[in-house]
Amino acid sequence: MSTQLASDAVARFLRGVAVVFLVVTIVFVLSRATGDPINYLAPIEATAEEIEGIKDRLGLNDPLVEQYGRFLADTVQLDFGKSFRAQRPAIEVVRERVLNTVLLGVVALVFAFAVGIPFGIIAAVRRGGGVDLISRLFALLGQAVPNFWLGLMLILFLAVNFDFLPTGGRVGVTSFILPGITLGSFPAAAVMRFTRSSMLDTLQQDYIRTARAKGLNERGVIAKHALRNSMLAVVTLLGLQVGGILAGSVVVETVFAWPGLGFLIIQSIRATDYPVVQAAVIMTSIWIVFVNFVVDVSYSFLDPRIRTGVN
Amino acid sequence: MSDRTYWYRLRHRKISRRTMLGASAKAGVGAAGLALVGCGGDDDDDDAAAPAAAAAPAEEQAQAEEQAMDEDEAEEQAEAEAAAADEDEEMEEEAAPMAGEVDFEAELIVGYGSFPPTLDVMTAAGQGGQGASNNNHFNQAFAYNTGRVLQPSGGFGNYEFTDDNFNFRITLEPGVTFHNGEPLNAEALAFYYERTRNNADYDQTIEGANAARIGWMGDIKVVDDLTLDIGMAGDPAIDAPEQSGGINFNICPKQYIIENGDEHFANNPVGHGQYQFESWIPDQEIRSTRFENYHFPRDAEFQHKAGWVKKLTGRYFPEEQARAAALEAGEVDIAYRIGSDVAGQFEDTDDFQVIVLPDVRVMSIELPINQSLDPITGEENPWRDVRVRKAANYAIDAQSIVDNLLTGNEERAYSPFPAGYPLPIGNMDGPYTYDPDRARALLEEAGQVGFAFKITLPTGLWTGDRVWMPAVQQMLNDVGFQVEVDYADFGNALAEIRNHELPNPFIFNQGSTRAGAPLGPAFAYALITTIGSPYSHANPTDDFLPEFLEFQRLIDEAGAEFDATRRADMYFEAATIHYENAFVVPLFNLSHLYATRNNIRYTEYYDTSTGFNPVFAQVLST
Repeated sequence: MSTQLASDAVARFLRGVAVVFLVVTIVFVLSRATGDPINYLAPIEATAEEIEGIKDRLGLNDPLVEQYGRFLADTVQLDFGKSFRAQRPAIEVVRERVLNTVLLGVVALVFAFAVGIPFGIIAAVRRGGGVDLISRLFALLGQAVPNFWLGLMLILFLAVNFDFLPTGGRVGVTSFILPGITLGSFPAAAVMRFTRSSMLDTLQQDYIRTARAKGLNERGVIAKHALRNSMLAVVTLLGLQVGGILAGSVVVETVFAWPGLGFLIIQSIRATDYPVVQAAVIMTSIWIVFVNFVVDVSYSFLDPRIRTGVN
Repeated sequence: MSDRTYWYRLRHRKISRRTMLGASAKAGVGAAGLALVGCGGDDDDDDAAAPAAAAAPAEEQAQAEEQAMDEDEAEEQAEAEAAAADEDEEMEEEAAPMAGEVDFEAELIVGYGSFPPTLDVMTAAGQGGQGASNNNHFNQAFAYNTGRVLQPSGGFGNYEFTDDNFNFRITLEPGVTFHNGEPLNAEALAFYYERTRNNADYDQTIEGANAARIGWMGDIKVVDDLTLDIGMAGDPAIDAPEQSGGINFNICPKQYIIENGDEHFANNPVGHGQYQFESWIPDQEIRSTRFENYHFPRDAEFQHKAGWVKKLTGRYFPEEQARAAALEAGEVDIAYRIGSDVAGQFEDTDDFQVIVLPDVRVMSIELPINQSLDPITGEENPWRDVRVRKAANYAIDAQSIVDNLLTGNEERAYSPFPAGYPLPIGNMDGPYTYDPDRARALLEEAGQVGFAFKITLPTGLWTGDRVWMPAVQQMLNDVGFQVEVDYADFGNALAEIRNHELPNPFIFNQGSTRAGAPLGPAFAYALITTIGSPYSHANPTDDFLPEFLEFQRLIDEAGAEFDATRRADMYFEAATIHYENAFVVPLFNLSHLYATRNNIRYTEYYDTSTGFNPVFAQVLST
């Protein structure tokens, strides 16, 4: 690794740390702006004294600055306190859900790339043809249709009317299909569009013409020369889509009763369960920053021009 | 069917994927069988050996039986006959039921819209799990009748006041055990109350949610194995039964909690309810099996009755349409609490039914009558004028809202007191029926035409709130009010109301006595008008109207009156003042809707706050 690359990586890492710090601060402020958790914690008949007692025990009566300082110190140790709802360490509650969301996200991304890349290639190679038209229509719908509606429609047709798949919950391998498709539809459309436009650019390059002139068959031209060079943009998209997938999981997991992180965040926000909201959002942001960092670094490796500093 | 659309018919036309899969599986098995027949041979010997091996123990058993007969033939035979007779009876119950008969071996799967985050029923969070966990796994000490009145006897515990009402004695039924076999005795109950008030002698890590409810308890003393005495911390508490063995007090075992700790209990609850906990996946499912040693039979007189189905499974579908879809797809038997719009698709169908259970609480507009100045404008508070309050009562056609915007199963309420309770109209010429002309006239007479105010509606809990509230707003505006509605987050609005910080009128439900039932000692608590009610405008320091003070005096006295007749008289007098002075604007009792498969039978109704209780649901064989 060149010195330039190493210093770039360090700079990106530091930027990532700054982003996480910013997220931590925003989460702290916003979570306290959404309501008073005592509404949820104290029973209906609790007297004012009892409510104050609970607040004291939880440190909710301390000045905000003090709470923030304590919060930062605890966050560094991944100690987000005890979930108000589950009465267990918040990080434990979050950890239980991460795997479900990651698995669902992987299914969604596999769907997105498995559909998006082939259709993007075909659409570019047969530009203006029927497949191109259908692909563009799919891309338009994929990006325009809200995933909660798509989810309900898929449940209605594939689970209720045709009885192919379960309507919700995590009850086996088949239960990944509907939420996976729903969550993957938006990135699939994005991947398709990116692949198509990137391929179109690449196919007009001189080296493609050269490859054809050398007598390489069309399949070889597309697979060896055009596709590999087009994938750079698609790899970049992967980093962006991880964030999109996590954001989309909030709605999709609710529709499909999927016991993941997105669903947990929604529940915790509704219940003003600070510790879990904070733990979930901060862990999510760390994950997104990390993935983007890896993508950035890998991008440098994939593109020799970046690695060697040649434009 | 003529009014149904193509899409409706399409949705109800099912291609039986399962049948196809079943048929192909059978074909596969058949083919495999044919293949095996062709290459059998050696297996025949094995098959022959197997029955021989099985026969040996049978012969030994027969010899043993013969020997036993020799030893004490007559006695054994009598016992065997008795046992056979018992077995026959059991067989009758356990044999595959005929179509339409109750299937005691069935599994009932309920799709819930909310799930508890913890199964410890004694935490605030765990108390939200009535439907999916608490009702199944736990029971209270005392029993309600169908009128939701606590019975002094007939529950797991019987109660009586002694020492001039300064002592509350609970006597437990003998032979009651928790699911783990631990006895429900006075020690266990004492521990339960100490844990509730965060005073139990063990490493307690939870916050007892009901500590405030048992503030009346002083010393708790175990008299003997089954008797517990609870002294009063102050004046005699007439609602001691409700606040020790009523709906909020689900009993937990002592030794189990001490030995395993709070966290273990929160994930592996043990109670003495009709169903014992089997497993759970948070926010996914809770599985339970029938507690075969449940203390009461299915035909017990009061609330505590043994469960019907063998297995009870709760699954979590937070999205209402997804819950309904799960029912249609056959993944659940009951879609718990759905809106009237969703319920409509299950009505008049062959496969499903909609069960409607009324909520006895009355949706009302609570009015700020106890401040002399309007806290918003700083001017004279128009709500102090009874004519303005009456105008609001006459302005709203609640019956029309029930008929046209709700399911039609709700009941128009004329007062916060339950249906069947004599309408306390006092000197009035009739109840507040819809009369916009009269409302307009009253408003003009009071000089308050154009009176502008805001109503806060805590949203998200009450069925159809965003549908009926605009109608209420429009009807008030039609007679001369200028109403703005604040559709507030439920939790935030609740906090403001509970802290008595909400200055404007708000919507809330009140009352908790079943139709026609006598008013219990805890009834005043459910009235949102009273001082001391959590959901009220009234603060002790307010500038009360004289008629309100009289009302409050009667409520306070009734709440401390041990004589039921005198108490009822006081309540009625208070109700009359309440009604004549239009302290609130009552609207209607909402209903809770449950869509089920049509082989579900439900005939019980005990619990107003949680509605449908799957413990009482029967699955009929099809």
